[in-house]
Amino acid sequence: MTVNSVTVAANTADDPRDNLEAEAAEAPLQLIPVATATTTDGTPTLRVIDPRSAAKAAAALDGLAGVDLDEDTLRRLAMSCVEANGFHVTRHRAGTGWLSIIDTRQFVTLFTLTPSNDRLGDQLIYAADPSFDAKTVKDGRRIGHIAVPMPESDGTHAKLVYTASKDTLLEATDRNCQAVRKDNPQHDIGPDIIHRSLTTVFTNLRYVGGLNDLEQVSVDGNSRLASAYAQIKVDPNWLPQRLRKQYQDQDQRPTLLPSMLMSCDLNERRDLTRKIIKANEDRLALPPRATLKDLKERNAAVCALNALTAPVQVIVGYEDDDPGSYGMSRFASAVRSLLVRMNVGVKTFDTGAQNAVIAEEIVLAAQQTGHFGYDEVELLIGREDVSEVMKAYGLDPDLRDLRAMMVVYFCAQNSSKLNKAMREKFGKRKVMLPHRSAVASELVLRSYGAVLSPYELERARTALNSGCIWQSLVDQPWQARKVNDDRSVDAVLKRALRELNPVGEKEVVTGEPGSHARLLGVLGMVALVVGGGLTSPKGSSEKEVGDLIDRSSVASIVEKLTSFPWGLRMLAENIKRNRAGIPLLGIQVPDGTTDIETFDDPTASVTARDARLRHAVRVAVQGSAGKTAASDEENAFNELCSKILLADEAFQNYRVIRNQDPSPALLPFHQTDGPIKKLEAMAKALNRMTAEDDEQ
Amino acid sequence: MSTPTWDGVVPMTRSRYLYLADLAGDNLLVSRPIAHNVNMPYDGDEEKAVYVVANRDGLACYAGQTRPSRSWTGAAGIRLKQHLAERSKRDEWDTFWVLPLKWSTKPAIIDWYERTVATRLMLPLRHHRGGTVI
Repeated sequence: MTVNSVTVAANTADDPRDNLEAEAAEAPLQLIPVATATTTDGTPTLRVIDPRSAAKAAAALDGLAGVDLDEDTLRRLAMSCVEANGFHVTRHRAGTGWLSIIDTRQFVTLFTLTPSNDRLGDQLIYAADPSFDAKTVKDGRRIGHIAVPMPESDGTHAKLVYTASKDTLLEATDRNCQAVRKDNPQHDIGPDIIHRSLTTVFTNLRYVGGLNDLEQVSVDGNSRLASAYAQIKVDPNWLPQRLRKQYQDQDQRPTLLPSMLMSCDLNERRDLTRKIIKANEDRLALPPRATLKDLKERNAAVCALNALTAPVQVIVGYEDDDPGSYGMSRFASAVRSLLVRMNVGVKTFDTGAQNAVIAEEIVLAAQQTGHFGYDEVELLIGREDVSEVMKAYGLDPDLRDLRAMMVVYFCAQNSSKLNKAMREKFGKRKVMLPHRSAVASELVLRSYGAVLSPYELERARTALNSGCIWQSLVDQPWQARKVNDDRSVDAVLKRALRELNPVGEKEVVTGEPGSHARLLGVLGMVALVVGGGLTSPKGSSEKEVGDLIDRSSVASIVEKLTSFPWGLRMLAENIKRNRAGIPLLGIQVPDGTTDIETFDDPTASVTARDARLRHAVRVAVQGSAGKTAASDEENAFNELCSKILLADEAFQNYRVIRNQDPSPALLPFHQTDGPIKKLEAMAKALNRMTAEDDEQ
Repeated sequence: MSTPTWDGVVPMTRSRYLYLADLAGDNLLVSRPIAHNVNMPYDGDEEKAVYVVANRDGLACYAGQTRPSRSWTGAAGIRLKQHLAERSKRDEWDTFWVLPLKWSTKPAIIDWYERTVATRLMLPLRHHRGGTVI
């Protein structure tokens, strides 16, 4: 076996991989001993712990205060350790109670990454999408980038439970591994050992179909773990017979992947670990030769061994603040709050994904205070099939805009419990419309992951994030209703028109938008945004119509639409069209007039539709401006930038002239304090207008 | 060492590219938020474009447009090659980012867009007097 592994190792070492690794191979790397075990000649070595010592260690663990795991789980914990002794429990505050944690060192092969793919939350397909099944089942297997259901508490022990099909969980875990390996590579792992502890928790993977697997997954430290896996190459022959086939066809030795591990049971994984240790230690035991190839192979072996173990904090218990009422039921949310606090700051958590996590946190927090019931939470979160819940509300589960209506309705509620949850999770003193919009837009879009292209989804996200809840949805009464077919759309339209009470042929509005107008507005907004009739305005939008447009948020545009009879009719028509999947009806103002007319042109681009609609709204609200330009604001900003550049040029000229003096004296205070103050005031004011850089 | 001719203020990053691309609206052919090395072969398929050059420090140092009268694919790459005839550009230009525009984009919009990109990147005005057409 040794000979075999050496030849295969040689192949991998010759890989033209990225330069970082080629450079690393120039100098011999140091193996860092992490255990007390040695070979007969005193060389440090790694040993997989024997079952008897593990059993002893498990019994010792069971005796510690704060440990709340069953016997099997404790045995598994001990079997995964490099050296199972010296355990002691520390308590960590998390959410609504205390987590008990022990520190130890384990083989990375004996636990795995989390299947939770929240970090990729904005790219996932959620079960709330009515075409979920059609898009994700192929040849009887679940495939695709599916949102894994949130882990639940086990109920009796400090364990989580994931319920999903095995394919979904394996695929999600592999994708997580590859995503963090790409987005957040840890180049020092391999050349060095992992320094900072990973946090892990025990999990029951409850596969659909009845099988159960006990697994230890990392809650924090997925990037480190993925980078460690990347250092470990596996010879397919080390795997159980049934798994070899799928890895043998590759021309290179595969790197360790979570799915590879999760397909093995604990004993098979311990075997695999032994074989990894043996192959790499055997390679290092060969006498060194002064060739580059030899050095590269030795370094690869050192990296594999350095990456093979990691310091681990294992969550072994939980004590709720209110054990009488909750017991272990809030364990999952405690772990989750630990995870969110640790990971939201990482740069790869995009705003969309971050809002997705915060949105869920808010919904769950509002559930804990009793604001939302179970059905409402399921509908809002949308990780599981929501058709039953939709039916219970009397809503057609195939109509995505009805779920959106419910989400907007729930997010717009001005209730102290919901507001408190939003304030806390966003860390703000006051809940504003943008917070509500951020929550609502992410949850709404969960119905659309499978039908919209990534580009369309991103467009809809930007549009909804600009604001999808307007003030009167929060302050004024309105109701979500069963608008299941065209007839009910017409009925809502009729009532909404009656609220406006238009008079005469010119339809002079004498009333105000009421509850039906608001309902129609919400449904119409979803139809317009998803159907590509309304988006966030572009810099070139004014060019499109040759006039100024209304650049406000989509919520504000829709709110204005609901105050005109033609706007209500257009919204109603587009709700029907979007449901039927046909191109939307547009609104425009013909050149040189102030008349508003509809247009039906399937070839019109999204930007053109958006610009014409915004133009029409502006004309209807303010009258025509009759200027041809990009927006005043965009152009004014361009003007500002060029004036700053001119000032800079003048400054450079001045400097050249000043520097002609061989030793220029410092300028008098009263000469420079004016310009400095002016520049500083400008910079300060500009800073105040600027959002934070999310790359930092 | 001589002082660099091609200086810049802001770094070109993926998110800045996306911000600039967004300004083009529907005129954008495709979003390609990657830096191309000026010395590597370029295989873009756009026929009109605004492009941004970053210097060796990664700072945006030049913005230009290309809208050839005949349709050439990879127009930005062709324009770049012409630029590199100048020594200072060869020495200091490092990567370029292409904002590919649709063939149907009107010249007035391309002019506006080039000017907007340049001013938003705080690029000196002297490089942008008069249109640049190949």
